[in-house]
Amino acid sequence: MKNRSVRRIVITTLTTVLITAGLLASKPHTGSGPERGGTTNGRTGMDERPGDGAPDERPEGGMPDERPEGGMPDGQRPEGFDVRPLGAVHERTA
Amino acid sequence: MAAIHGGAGARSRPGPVPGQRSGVPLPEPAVLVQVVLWTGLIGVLALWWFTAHPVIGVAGWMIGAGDIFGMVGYTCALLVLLMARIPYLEHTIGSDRVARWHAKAGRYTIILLVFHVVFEYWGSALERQAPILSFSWQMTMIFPYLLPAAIGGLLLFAVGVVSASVVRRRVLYEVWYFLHLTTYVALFLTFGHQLALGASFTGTFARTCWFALYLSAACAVLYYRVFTPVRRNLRHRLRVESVTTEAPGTYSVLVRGSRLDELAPRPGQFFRWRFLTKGLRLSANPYSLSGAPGPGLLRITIKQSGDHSARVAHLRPGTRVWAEGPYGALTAARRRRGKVLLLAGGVGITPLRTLFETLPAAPGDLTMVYLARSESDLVLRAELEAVAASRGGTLRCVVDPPGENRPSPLTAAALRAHVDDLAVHDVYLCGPPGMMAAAWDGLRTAGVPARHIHHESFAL
Repeated sequence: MKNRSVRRIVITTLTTVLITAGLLASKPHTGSGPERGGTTNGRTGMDERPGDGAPDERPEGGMPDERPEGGMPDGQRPEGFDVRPLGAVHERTA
Repeated sequence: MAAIHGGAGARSRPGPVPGQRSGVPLPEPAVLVQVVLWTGLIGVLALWWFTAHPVIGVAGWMIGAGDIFGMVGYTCALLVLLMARIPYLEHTIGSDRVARWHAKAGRYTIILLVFHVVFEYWGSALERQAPILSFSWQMTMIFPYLLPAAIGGLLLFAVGVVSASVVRRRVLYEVWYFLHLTTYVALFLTFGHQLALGASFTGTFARTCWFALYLSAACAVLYYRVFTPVRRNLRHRLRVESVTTEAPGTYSVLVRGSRLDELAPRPGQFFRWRFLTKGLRLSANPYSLSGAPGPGLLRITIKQSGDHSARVAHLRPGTRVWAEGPYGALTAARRRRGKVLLLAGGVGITPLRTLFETLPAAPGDLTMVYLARSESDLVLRAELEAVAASRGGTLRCVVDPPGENRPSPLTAAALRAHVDDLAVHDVYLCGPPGMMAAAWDGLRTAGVPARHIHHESFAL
């Protein structure tokens, strides 16, 4: 009984992994991170900036050109993190 | 008059049998519900697919996988809906089956939750080429709604661990129950990050659907698990009338209340009973009705098998009772054939006793086989004999003492000895898990199709 239960969980998990891999494989694999916007994929994508935790030198309240107007709420902007791709927040504050 | 519907008036009337009238098999509610649930899951995955962006590099694969596993938010809402005591699910599919779905989906949800966390954090750290632990800490503290989500995730994980059968056996029911209640807090804590950070929820439609899903679950829980029980118990004001010993270790509890006819329990159904006295008020256990012996009265019959049932024996008349229900699908609605075998083991007689009394049947169509460990364990025997005599039914009491090297009374041959044309019967089955398993094998070997074996189990 226990073996059957474990086997079922293993099979279900493997099936899930396969479906996940299939879904991911069906998406394009080229493009540039920041333009993806709106995805969690790029939410930590600040690699072009030097150093972890570098201070945000952008003007207060403003956002770089390519971002939607309004930018991130100040309270939600992580120090040293580029939160550009938090699309849901963009949408809400746009 | 008696509160169990389908009683006196239905006793001797053969009546139509569901499914025989039109000759068309009725759709199985469980199948319909599963189709709806799986369709929802496909819809959720489609939502991810249409909103996800290119998958770039190893980090992209990992974060993408994390996002897909993050759609576990859908199953979280389903888990709540399944246990919201929605009457349609409880009455057509059955509490035991719904609870098993909940348990299975719960295990799977915890696995997906762990995958989601690991892949999201790991993928994000990889993308940033940062040490995973310090980066995860920073991410949790800085990203909106992620700290509450982490706390909620830990709570869900704890609930999953405590619910694993290995651990479950070692913890008190109350610990398991109250930890389970924190699931609602956990889901509340995790909800914000799904919409704030979930890549699939940038669109209004997706956000609205997600809100609707969670709002439906919250409303269902509040209505069916809080409002309805409170309203009913204030209205019916149940109290213990008396406790009588039916057999050594088996007791019948009479409960008195007002306007019980409004509860409309059907034969075979049960309530979750909470007795508001020391040692019993924290747990609500499911016990089937074993009859409605008079106006304003309900009766349950309980075999002593644990702390709760042992304390029930000492209940005092006048003790307030909190009952939730009626629940259960082991009713006449499951019936598909004219001839019926009721197969009971031990205290599993309780729901079948009310069915024996009320199932529409012509004389000769009803047979009850009642197994017990000893003569004294054949509780309610006098009542069963009276019902059999008045309805032209057959009652076979079988004593099967433990530990004796005798053939099982539940083999196909033994069952056929009680009922010649067993394969054309509907069978209602209720008893201890071991007896149920043996009976299931015997019935299947005897040629009874699985869809004609109706059972409900409380040992989940």
